[in-house]
Amino acid sequence: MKELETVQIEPKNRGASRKASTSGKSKTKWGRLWADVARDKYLYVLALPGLIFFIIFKYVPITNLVIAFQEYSPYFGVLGSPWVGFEHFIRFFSNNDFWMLLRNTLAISFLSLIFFFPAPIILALMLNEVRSSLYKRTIQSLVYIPHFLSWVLIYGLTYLMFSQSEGLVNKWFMSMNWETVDILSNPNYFWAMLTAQSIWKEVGWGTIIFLAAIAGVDPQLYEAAVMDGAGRFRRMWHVTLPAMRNVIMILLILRLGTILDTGFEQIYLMMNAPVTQVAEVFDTYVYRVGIRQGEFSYSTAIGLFKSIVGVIMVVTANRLARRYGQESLY
Amino acid sequence: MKTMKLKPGKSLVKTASLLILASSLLLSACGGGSGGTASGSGGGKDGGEPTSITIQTLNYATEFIDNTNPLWKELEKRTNTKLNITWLSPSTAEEKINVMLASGDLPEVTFVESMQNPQLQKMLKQGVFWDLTPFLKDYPNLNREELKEMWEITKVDGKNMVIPRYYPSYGGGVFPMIRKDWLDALGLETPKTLDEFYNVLKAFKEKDPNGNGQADEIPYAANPGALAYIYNIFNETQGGWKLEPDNTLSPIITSDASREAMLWIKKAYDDGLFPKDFAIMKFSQVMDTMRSAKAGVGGMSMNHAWVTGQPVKEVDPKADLMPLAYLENANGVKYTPSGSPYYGVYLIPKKVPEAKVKKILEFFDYGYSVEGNEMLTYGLEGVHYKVENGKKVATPQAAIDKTGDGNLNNMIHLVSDDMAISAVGMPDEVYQRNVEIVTERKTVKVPNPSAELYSEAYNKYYPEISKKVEDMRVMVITGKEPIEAYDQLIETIKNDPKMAEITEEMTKAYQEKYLK
Repeated sequence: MKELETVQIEPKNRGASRKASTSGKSKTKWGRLWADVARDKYLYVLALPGLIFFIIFKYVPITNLVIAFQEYSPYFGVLGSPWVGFEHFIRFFSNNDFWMLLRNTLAISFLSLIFFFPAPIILALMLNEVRSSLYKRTIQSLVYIPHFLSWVLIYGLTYLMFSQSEGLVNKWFMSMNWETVDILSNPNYFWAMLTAQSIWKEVGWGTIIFLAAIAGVDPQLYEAAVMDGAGRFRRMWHVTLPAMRNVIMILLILRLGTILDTGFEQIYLMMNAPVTQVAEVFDTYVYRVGIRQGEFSYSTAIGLFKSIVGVIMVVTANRLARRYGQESLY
Repeated sequence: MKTMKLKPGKSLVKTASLLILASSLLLSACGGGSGGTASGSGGGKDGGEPTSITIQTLNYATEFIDNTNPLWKELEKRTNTKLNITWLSPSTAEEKINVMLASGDLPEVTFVESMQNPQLQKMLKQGVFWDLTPFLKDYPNLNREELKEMWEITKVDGKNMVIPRYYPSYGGGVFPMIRKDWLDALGLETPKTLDEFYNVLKAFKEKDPNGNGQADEIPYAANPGALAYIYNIFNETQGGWKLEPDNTLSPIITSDASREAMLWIKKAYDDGLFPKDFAIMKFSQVMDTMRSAKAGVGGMSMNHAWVTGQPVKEVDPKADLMPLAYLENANGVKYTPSGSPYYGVYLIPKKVPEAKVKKILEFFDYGYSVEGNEMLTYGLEGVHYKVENGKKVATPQAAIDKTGDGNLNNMIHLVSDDMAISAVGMPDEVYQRNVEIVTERKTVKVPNPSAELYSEAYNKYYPEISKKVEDMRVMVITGKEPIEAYDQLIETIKNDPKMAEITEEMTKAYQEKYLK
């Protein structure tokens, strides 16, 4: 509500100032518009590249989503391909694999939400408590590094660590006369392994935004807290965490919007025959069926379904956040 | 302040976006126009301006050449063309070709890896490409005796819509390549039957063929994909379909013979004849295992006797890789891999003017002439090779200009078995042995009824069904699922109306093509 009020109040002030600058000119909508453009022309020029980017690369391609309702053929193009209504959606939802795909996608996503999402927050809090700034900066730089490795490399590293013939871990087990462990092709460990890989790769990079939020905390607040007799954990709980709350909420809402995106590369690389039943997700399915078999309409329908779920999640999460008085996206 | 700025901005955004949209459309329209005239102007007459031809094709080389390459320039000079070649790397070719077909933006010479590509089949029916039948008779080299079969079997409804890319029928395909030196060390004969093959693998595991006193040998470097031919040996057919006596096709995926094949592999797996990571190894990892010289057998085409044989030799100088000629199943039926005498096809879209179509055919005619064909693979005599005792010996310049396997040679293959059995630097004795083996392979005729067939239902449903079965096979082989689970899956597939539809369409396609 607070935001709405400001919106309502401010046009009044604006109207006054506009009158002064455009007195005597036409009062039509277009006239006022051009007056505004003329006044803030440099700001609009500044925004232009961004606008162009979004229009060409985001909005124009959206129109091609109609192929989800067509039997798209390259020869006839988007305009000439025959319409088939919801056929592709029906085929997708009535597919025996739909529930398996949904289960795997949600499981992988929620595991990541529960274990991967808080990890950078905790790491940022820990880094914030480190006293020696040299030590802190060194650690920071080191934990960023995995972010820059591609998933292919990480697949290679995982293989070198855990495979049964070459893996370091299994070699060590063998030298201790223990049984070797089958980690890479065991359906029971697959989701946990994916989550662990994600955390290993991205936890450091994820701390950046939280550390920035922490850096914005007024040191006086800490001093006041110390004066009030707050210990380390009290300060963390009552000063640092509230300062990060807005950032955490916004990232969480955005994260929910991509709940059906599990990341293609990682899963595609780690997938093998024994784990297919727990590893096949929407993204890999779209690749296999859509791209490799050339079924573009079908895969667009799946993509559209994913996007709709994403929008619903974001809107719902945003509503909930507002209802409970937290920072929201809009 | 922030909220103040937003409000009037919104309507402005609309107008601005419309403007930008309009201008971007204009821009792209201009771009398209100018591109069109540029390529159109090239269609000159013989002897005049060189014709520009855009070609896109597969390239297996590790380093791609461009128009600064002397051999490329020579080819342009001899054919009076200006070549604009886009190389596709094999790992991404399939997706790129699919996307390209979908975009409708086709190069003047479009390469598609498989005639069975569903999009290509649709486009052929829609008449996107030139029918080349009326032109072909004017090009003697395209009508060479060696090429007759490939033109014949790639006909679509009796018309030549494609320029097939020659590849020899025999010599390619995944089949066991065995360490001859290990066989000799243990005093074993070259295996001729599956049972003998099994015993050889077992001996490799137990009898220390590399003689280092440790049981570190991996008898057979394989992953599930590399063993597909075992199913073909048991089913006595090439490809995924078997011709029944009543001239219908049946899928081998659900056959009892395939179940036996799987159990054969399972037994080998349980006996430790494959790497421990069998189920999860990718193709490159299988090849790495092979090159580490620890493995006794690998599945590969015959030219790898040297392509892979050489790196193995670097690790173990005694190493000698030898392809097997064939393997016999329990019924005494021999199997060896063979295929259609081409791999991939070129197509010319209708947007190319007729004069240029003739020029393109002329270009291919040169590529399939003896002179042009040898030049694309070996380079120029005196520059890239010298003839000694009737054999072409590569000069150092050959490596610099990247002749041999890959690049221009991949655009138009050498019309010879050498394409599949020879390799740069292959020693005489290895080559001679390969010639003997391929001659022996040619005596083995295994039917391949489904090779040139197309069915829409097959393309739509079969990949998912076969993936399910392949996954299940791996589970059973590695002991993660009991054989009952496999039987149950096969039973479900046998009763699946989709599978019935596929089988019916395949049978129909076969009968229409061969029994008319």
